[in-house]
Amino acid sequence: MKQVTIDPITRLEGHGKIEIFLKDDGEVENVYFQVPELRGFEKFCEGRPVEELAQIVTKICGVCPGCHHMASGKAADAVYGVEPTSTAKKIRELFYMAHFVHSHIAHFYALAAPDFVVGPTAPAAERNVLGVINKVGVDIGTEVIKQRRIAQEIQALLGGHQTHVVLNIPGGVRKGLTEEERKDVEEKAKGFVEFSKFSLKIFDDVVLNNKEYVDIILNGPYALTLHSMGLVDDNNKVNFYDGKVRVVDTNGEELYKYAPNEYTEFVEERVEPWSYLKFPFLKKKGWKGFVDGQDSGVYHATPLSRLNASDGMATPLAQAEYERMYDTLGGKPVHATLAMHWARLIELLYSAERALELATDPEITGTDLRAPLDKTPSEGVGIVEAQRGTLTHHYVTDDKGIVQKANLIVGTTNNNAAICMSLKKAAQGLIKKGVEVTDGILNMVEMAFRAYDPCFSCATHHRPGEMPLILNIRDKDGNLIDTVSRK
Amino acid sequence: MNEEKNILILGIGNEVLGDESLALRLTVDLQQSDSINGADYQQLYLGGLSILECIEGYKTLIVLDTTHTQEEKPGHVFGMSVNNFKETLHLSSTHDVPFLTALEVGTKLGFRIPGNIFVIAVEIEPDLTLGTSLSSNIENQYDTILSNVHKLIQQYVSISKSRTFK
Repeated sequence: MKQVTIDPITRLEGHGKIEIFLKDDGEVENVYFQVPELRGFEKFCEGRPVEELAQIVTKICGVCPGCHHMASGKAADAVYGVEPTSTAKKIRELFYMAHFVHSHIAHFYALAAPDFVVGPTAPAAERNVLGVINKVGVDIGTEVIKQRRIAQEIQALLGGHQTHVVLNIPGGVRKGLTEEERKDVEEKAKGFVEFSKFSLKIFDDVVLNNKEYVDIILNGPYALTLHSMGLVDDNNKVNFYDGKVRVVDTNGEELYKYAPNEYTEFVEERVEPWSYLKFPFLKKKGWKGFVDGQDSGVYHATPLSRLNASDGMATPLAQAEYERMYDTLGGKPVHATLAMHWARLIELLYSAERALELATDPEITGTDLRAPLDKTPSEGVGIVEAQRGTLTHHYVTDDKGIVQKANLIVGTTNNNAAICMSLKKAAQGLIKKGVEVTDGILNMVEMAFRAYDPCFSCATHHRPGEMPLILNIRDKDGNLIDTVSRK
Repeated sequence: MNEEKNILILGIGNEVLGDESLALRLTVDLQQSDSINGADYQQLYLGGLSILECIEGYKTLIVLDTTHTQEEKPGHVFGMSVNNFKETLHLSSTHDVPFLTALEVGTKLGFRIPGNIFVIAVEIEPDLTLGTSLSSNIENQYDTILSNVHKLIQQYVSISKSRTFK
């Protein structure tokens, strides 16, 4: 058996490693995706007041601190059995929409666009954000930076700091929004809407108008028939901040719809001896292995799964794009992994529109910022949609609100099995006997991984930044017979 | 922003990941010592494009981070410029762009990037266990590390002053 190692994965995870095992005939036999995971979260939380966790958990991950802050804040609400005031919920959601705008812009332009705008098999030295700027122009690059900065400014305005967020307290928020601040946010949100529409136009021009790319999306080795998970509102529309978790099967039929505090009835986690990361699966389906299909317990929690699991978007422009995507790709549900990029841009537009809705809501400048706490704290679960999947925080406290136990299922963890399967499928489709394993082929294997926008809790801890890709081909005895590397 | 600022000392790290919080603590202690004339201090968790807004307009940028080269013992202080830059633990973002790419993007887009950029990185042994305290090895060396970092900063400030700024 030959072994191909992609280590580390470019542009995404300094410590991640993909091991591809080849059969003697040169075909791919298996693929293993491995990442380290932070340890000791439960112990780290134990003994701390539950209301402190919303501030502490932002420090786990520098990439999505707002998601952890939001899930933690909602879990603390649940621990205290308190429903935040209407104004507080809207301020939280406004903050969260800015967080989504920032993150989705970053993923599309810095991580996804190089594969499409520059080209999946373009030289690695050009296949990066600089290559994108060279193709689309400096003005657009400047606008990307500007919109990201504005999204950060809104988060800092509402959350006290863009990373060290101090917005949520049980039952509400620490700070309200003045009319002057609201007007400023409204103008900024209008800019988000225009930029989101523009980003979708780029996707149209560069990807959808390119027959080769459309063919890769629809017919390349990038499809998995998985169940889809996503948070929905009372009308089954996509919601990032609140609602119930809905799971639809591979045919798009509703399997489950559950409240956050019921999650343990529906999701179970398993461990594999070769991975530090757990593998959540649908408990009622059971673990059937790394297989897709209707009987499998594997699901995904991604921008595409959120759209699959919903009956639509709650804002008009995003709804129109939602309909266009499904019309173009042959109806719901879509199982093409690379369509996650399109779904992510639809979510970007939804976030922008929703931010504008909230910024023009008369209640957003209300002063009723916190509901009183009158119950004894005990146990609570908070679930939000992180950019990378459904994020669950679960705390158990004593009657003084001191944390006794904590559990997290982070966005990317939901997709661990799906990512492994996508990589295997891509590798099997691209690495064949007699086909030279080029840098371009390796990148196309990685594209299966990148579509998930995976983020591991150790993303704040990373080396090396240039992430050279090294591929070792070994014979069945483990002897190195060839090396492909890029710098 | 047109105002030209002088020196930015930028600490970067993760305060709940043990020794990976070292640069943040160093930044705080340097700021409190007030021993670097004309310096501003900031802290970040991650590099990537977000760094551009922090550093724009400064004449001199000195980044403090941790590193894991395995070439020296924990506590060793490395100093480098962008010309001989080797990746550190947090200055590049896996979810964004590497540090040098961020600088290139900034230059291309017209950001006023500091003319003098130095990186000081302290060798550590990363441990992915969450915790707010330094390892005993680093804690025991802390005063020496702080002193060595301070000396390097003074050296870099001196070099910067002798140059014509961009």
